Amino acid sequence: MDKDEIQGYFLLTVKEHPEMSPAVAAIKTLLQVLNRDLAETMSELRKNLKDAIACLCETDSYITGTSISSGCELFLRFITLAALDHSDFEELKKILLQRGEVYLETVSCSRSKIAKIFRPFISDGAVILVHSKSRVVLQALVGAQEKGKRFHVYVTEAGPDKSGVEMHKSLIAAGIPATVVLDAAVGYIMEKVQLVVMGAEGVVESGGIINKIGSFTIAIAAKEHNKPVFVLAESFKFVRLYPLNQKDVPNNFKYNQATLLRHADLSKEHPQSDYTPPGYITLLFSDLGVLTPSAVSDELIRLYL
Amino acid sequence: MDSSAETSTSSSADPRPRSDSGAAEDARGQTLVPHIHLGEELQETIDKFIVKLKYSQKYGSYTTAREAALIFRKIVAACRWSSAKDLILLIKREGRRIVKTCPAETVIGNVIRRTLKIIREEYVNATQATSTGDGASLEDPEFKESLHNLFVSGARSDDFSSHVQGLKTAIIDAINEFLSELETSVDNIAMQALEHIHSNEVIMTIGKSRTVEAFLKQAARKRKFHVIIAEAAPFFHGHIMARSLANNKPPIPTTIITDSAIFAMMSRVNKVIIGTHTVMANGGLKSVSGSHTIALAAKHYSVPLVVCAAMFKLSPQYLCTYDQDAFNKFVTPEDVMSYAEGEILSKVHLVNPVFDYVPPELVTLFISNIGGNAPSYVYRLLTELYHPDDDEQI
Amino acid sequence: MDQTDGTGDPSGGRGGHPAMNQKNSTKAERRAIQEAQRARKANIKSSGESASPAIPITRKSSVASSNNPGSCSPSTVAPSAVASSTVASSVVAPSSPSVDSATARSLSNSDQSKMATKHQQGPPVAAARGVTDVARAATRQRSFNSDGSTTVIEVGGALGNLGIFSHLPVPERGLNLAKTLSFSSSAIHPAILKLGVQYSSGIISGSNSRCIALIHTMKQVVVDYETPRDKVLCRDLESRIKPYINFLAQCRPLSVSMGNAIRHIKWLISHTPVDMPDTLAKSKLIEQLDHYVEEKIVLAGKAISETYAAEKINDGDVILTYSCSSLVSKVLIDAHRRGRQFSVVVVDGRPRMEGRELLKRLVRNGVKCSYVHISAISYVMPEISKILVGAECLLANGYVMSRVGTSQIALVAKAFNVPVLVCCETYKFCERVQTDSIVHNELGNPEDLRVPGLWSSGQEEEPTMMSWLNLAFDVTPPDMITMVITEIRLLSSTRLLDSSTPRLLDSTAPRLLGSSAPQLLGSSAPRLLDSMMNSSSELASLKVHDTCSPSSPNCFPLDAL
Repeated sequence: MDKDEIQGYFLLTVKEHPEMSPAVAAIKTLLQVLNRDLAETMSELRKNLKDAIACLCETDSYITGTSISSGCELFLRFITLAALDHSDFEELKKILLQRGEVYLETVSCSRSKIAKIFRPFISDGAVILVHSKSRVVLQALVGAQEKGKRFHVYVTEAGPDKSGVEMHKSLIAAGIPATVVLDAAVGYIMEKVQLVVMGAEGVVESGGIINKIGSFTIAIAAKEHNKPVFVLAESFKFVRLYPLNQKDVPNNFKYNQATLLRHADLSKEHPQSDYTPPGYITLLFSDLGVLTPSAVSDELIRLYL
Repeated sequence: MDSSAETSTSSSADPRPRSDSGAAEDARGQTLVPHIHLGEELQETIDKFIVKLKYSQKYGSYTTAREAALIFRKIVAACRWSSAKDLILLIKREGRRIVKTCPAETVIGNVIRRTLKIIREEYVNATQATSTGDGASLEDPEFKESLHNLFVSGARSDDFSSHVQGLKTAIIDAINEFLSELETSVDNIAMQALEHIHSNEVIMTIGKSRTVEAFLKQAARKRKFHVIIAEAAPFFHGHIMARSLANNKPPIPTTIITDSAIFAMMSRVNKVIIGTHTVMANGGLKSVSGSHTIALAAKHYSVPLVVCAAMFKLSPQYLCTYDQDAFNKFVTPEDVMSYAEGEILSKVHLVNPVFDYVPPELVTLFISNIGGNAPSYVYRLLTELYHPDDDEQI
Repeated sequence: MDQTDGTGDPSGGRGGHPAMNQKNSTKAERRAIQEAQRARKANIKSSGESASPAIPITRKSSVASSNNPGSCSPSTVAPSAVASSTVASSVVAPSSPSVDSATARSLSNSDQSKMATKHQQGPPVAAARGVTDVARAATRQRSFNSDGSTTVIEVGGALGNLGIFSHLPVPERGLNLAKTLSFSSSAIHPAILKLGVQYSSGIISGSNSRCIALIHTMKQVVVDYETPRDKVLCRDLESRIKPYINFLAQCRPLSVSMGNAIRHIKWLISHTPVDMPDTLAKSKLIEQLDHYVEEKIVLAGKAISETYAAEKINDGDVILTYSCSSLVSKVLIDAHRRGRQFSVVVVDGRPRMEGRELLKRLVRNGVKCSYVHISAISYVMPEISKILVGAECLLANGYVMSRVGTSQIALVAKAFNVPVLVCCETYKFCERVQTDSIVHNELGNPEDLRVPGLWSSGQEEEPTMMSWLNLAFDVTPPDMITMVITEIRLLSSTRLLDSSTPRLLDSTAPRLLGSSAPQLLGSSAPRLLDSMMNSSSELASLKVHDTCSPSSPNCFPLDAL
């Protein structure tokens, strides 16, 4: 597969399955690459995949790089682990494809699993602040609503793309009372809410998250008000990265590919996402269970060591 | 071990938060349980235990844990079960019955989980011994769902249904081991006292805890220090604790203060050492009323808060909402205001909650029978202690 | 507590001398007291009249016992009169001849009878309550020895060990105080004696009540006062009052509110014109004292309740309050009468359980109430929308001194983001600064902490290493307080240090209070003034002052004084 083909397949997947996370789409694309790949040795395969990943990362879309790179990295690791067990290349490839399918299937259940474990944390009559748009948060809230929980949601508008408005529409469509608030109104609204829920583009090794710009602000405000901050994120969003501060987060996590490709002066560009340190996060809900931020690095170490 | 937890004369405990779908699963699980009869005698023992839990005044969490473990050992020994799967279901069924009567006693849930974990482990060990093959993937760390497993293993399936020789004795041995761990846990915690208490310290504690009592007495053998004890009204276990420490040989000088003077005295305190009823999965505490105050005061003055808690107090529960109703226990408000004050009483809403939730960020250190740990490490201990499948179902 | 006092607590009260025969010990101890008193007198005489009577008796007696050649006991450090007197008794009893003991007994008798007559003077003035109190006090006097020896254990055993409260006077219950009156001291006015007993036994407690009672009693003192021929009122009356105040301070440490009132009284007296006739001067003084109560306490409370606090209590509020503050109860009841729909959570703390009093008042007025113990505070806190507490005094560094436990409420409130409002009249402002609750505090009687029925009968004996600490107050740091409501305006307690501080503090200074009280309020909100106009005709002149004064709050008209 060449570059255009890969990107085309990826974008098509994303388009066809709007509920799918870009990381899953990336993994799916890579599986497709693997399937069609003609390589005959392990190292050749690995090289081809790395090229494919590079292509994916350059995909010119609104999708931020964080989740793509986390998905791709996981996939590579997955290959490496498999290669340790099986020496025969053809067999390996078969196993990989088979496992890949199983994995995609597992992943597709992860959101409902998260929704399930998160449900008891919403009490009746709760007032919840949600930041921006997140599929997993949406599913969790809708799930709770279906189970008879009654609560009110405030959604931040989430500039510059106003993704919160989209989230609001989905919530209203599901029959959940929701209100859009300005990003600047977070401090005002915090007093009223009982808990803050947000998704994540990536969960980093420190246990912190990289998410839509404004998340950090909300987390700070929540901390000041002693309100819990819950992060809902599937396990494929775990990234091997340990940022120290905002500046330390790699550029491809913060800016659009388009911006990066333009070689624009980044000091004049506005970042798309920020880093929220683990100290501001109360609990992480993933398909692996409820995790304290410190458990995240444990999981990552177990995978990559 | 806050003994206050046990002074429930007429406890009206709210049910523990439970995932709603859990109930459905429970129902399903129930139907799967083969009809294994416990036998009259065993049934009676369990019923007695339940009654004791419900009405007994002073019932420490250690005693509760020990008795529960003994009962499960009996079940394992006395019942005729054919496979580990049956046994697991049986234990779950009986466990649920006990837990339902007193949901606030998290310790019982923990013992059930430990027993289940023991069964699983012994099963895996036994199968591995007989057939050295696939069993390897079931070994401990892999049990836990992890990123790693999502990739490596395909669909893992072992339903513990095959019959294994010698499983019963192995399980009973393991439960005996657990029992002796329970017995020594207080001593093991106390052994570490000298590592935490230096001379001329001023230590504050609240109420009475068997563990903390032993801890301080152990330290008193070598070190001189002063203990300030918040009385933990309306139960006044602090008074009993103070007397016990002062009667110790060598005596520990103690000062009893009211619960309202905690913050005022905190500025002179070097260390706060408290016991707890339960350690929650996030490292938070479910502890005697007033603990939150003492923890906040300690935080305000940057005084380390050390929590002495044996491993059997670790629970995989989270505090789901900050609404403390969910996990609290309420006892008769007679202690708060005597019934004699009838005229007012009829017009006033009285509450007498037993527990406080202490968030993990206020806890500096846990001292368990296996050593000191930071609250953020509790989740790790939990994965070692219990099987994830058992976490929520009880 | 009173019961054990009365019966002399045969089992454990005797502390170190359980075997001693009761009769013998009383004799010995009586002797001891005599010895101590004589020693003290001698000491005072030797050190000249300059020895300030303000030093608590406990110190003096310990000095006395150290002067006594025999007393080389290791426990002389114990700052308790009884401690040293027992020491003295053990030294004196074997050596002193029978004559000595006889005189001692007679002296002791005369002392006691003297005291008794003094008390009998009390009842005519006293209400029925006062009578019973004196009676109770008398019972206590009989048994104070056993009571006292328990105190010795506490002091030596615990506070000594922790050693951080040895600078505070040890509480003396009932007529332990009687010992503090030496024979030569000029007779203390019976009303003052009564007041002192009421203070020390806790019949009158609470900052406002104590202050009002003090002023009321002082009025009686003024009424009964007659200027000696060769003296003038403005000098003599002041010196007459001094020992009274010392006596009251020994009964229970003076509250800031009382301290401010006393300074005001002294100022008033010393500014009475020398040539004014007695009757006129006295009636003027009484009028001014009435005025002080009216303006500083009654009207201030009214202004706080009606002008400011009323705005802060809204429909649907759940208001938490702690212990019993007369001002807070007024605020809540007023708001309820005005038709605000709110409920109140009364939090209480041992040993005083003053919250019950507040609860009773609120329930009687139909306010919806809950009642919890302070240990359950973090359970109720999530439901609370506001916290309203009273204060003992407001310190110059913005810390609020209040009933012990208040700081804890504020601490937990901060964790739950609940605003904390402190109601405090400006006359409770204090120039002192303090950052912890230990430097300056008041110790309550440790006996009060005991819980009856906690021990089975065999366990009554108390280990010597166990002690009890009964603190009366604590200080709350300003960062835990959202707002202080005074009659002048709403304050942020952290901002007390800004330009308004000196003005507010000055307003409590007696020199200002004396001249023309209305001016104090000169630049404050007209609303307040209106409310005061309605209720007090005395303040008729106020409007004039108000219009004269500049509108800028920083420019205080009295600066010129």
